[in-house]
Amino acid sequence: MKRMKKFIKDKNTRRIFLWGSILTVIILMSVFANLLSAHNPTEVDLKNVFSPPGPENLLGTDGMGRDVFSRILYGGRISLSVSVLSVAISTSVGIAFGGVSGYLGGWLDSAMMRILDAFLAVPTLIVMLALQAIVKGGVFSMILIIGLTGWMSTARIVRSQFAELKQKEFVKAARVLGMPGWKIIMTHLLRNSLSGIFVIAVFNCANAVFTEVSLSFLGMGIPPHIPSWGNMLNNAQNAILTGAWWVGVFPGLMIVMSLLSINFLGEALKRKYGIQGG
Amino acid sequence: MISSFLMKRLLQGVMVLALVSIISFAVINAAPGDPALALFGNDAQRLAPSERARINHIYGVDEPVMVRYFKWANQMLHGDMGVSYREGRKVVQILGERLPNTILLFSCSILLIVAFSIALGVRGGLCEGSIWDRGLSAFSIVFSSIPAFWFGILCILLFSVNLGVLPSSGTQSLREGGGMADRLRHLVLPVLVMVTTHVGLYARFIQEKIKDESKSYYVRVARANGLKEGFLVKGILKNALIPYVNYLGITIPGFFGGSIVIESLFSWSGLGQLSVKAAVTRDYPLLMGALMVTGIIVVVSILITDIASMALNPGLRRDGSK
Repeated sequence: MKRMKKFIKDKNTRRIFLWGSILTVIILMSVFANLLSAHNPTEVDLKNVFSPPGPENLLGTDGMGRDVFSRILYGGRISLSVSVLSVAISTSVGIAFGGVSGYLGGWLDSAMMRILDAFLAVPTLIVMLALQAIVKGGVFSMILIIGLTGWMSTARIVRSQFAELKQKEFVKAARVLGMPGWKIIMTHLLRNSLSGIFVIAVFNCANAVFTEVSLSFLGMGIPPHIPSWGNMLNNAQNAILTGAWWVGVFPGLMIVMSLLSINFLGEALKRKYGIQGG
Repeated sequence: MISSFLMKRLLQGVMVLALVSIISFAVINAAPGDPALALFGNDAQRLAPSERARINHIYGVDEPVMVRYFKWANQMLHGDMGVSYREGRKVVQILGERLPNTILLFSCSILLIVAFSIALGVRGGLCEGSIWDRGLSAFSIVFSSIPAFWFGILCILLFSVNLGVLPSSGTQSLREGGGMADRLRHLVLPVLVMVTTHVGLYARFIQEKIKDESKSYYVRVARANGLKEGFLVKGILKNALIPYVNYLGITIPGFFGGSIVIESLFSWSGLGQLSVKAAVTRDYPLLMGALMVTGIIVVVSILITDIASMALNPGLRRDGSK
């Protein structure tokens, strides 16, 4: 009872619960897409093009007669898993880069930070355009590209956390007692930075969804035959000009809802753990 | 006399440009496709091998990578970016046509963003706990969760389809032939979308800084000593602007990423739309040129923000300080 009271009192916990459950609903809807949707998301029905939302097609059909509702559910599978997997890559790269830089320090640290600054000054979307021009499509290459271009913020956080923790008494004590370097990194430095890394990873998930959606919208992301939230918006502005507003509005709402819940969740986590920056 | 701060930043700018050039060159170099493919599309397979080799030799793609990179970099420095595979025209000429449009869109949006974000952020930051303060925080998260192109689609739906007051694409209409008023009408929607999707983020940043600054010791002492509130606000604002300008510099690259999407959505014939087109059609000289020019604009904008922060922060003007 007491815990319950405390739970309701703490604003951040409440927020985490609220936005976390919205996100969970979105994820579950994508996971159980095959149970929830009555239509095949890739089934073309040219007699049923641009039909408005109704009992047969809950959210209408697109320019090729495909059911918008089931495409949103199946698209979520792609968009969300691309985001999570790419963040796994970017977080690992960020921990490795920031960890080396923060742990070793000295001239190597300042050189690595200069390189990081230079990477940060290159517009990411432009690098991706260049990369995407070679590998051309494929879900896997998308994951790799987003992962390899999004590690900078994680590296920054890890580096500053490591550099700060390194000066702490308990780390110095561990070193004096002869603890090997890798063990200090694993048990002291990394474990104490985990909450910061987790929060930045949550924000990176939102960024990854954003990037996938933008690239697919430009026609350079997920291959067109696979439904993804960005792909659904690819031709939406033409559909809208012909009056079929549901083709553009509903997938976008889904994107906004998931980004909102991820961002608010990250914000609440950040406040709860009192993490600066990010 | 140039301070060491500016020297460092200039050096970094050069490093960034070198990085951009290497990335774009190396990446594009590894790409499949050759000039023959770009010129003839799928028909390129029907070319005789010798003919295909001859075409590729004309464009010089049969030489080693390093040779080509230095050749290209050298030509770049002399302002020669080669010939577009697709259009057969000089890349410099194509870029020159597109550049003014991008600069127009960029400068209009960034000026409005700076003006609005400072106004909103100061309002929210000074009245802590007010509706402005909390409203702005929520507004900024909500708008940073809306993809700019989707917001743009909604704007097209509202202003072009339903109300029919603003054009949905292009930089000028064919019928009215590009008068001043016509161009401005085409500018409204892209700028509106750019500003609304970005302003919250910047406003929130300056709001947080102002809040931090108001709580600091020197402000409390000044207030206790009975300094006029207007005078205090001036001091707080000046100190809050330093990190703000810095933040502006950091986010400019991301801002250009956003403008690529906006330009494509509104068919705004600028550099962003051009690079997407070049990437889709695998027109590598054009893509490399567009990437380099974008890199140069980014570096120059970052330098401008550096100079602005030097003007605001006397500490940076002194020699030898960080």
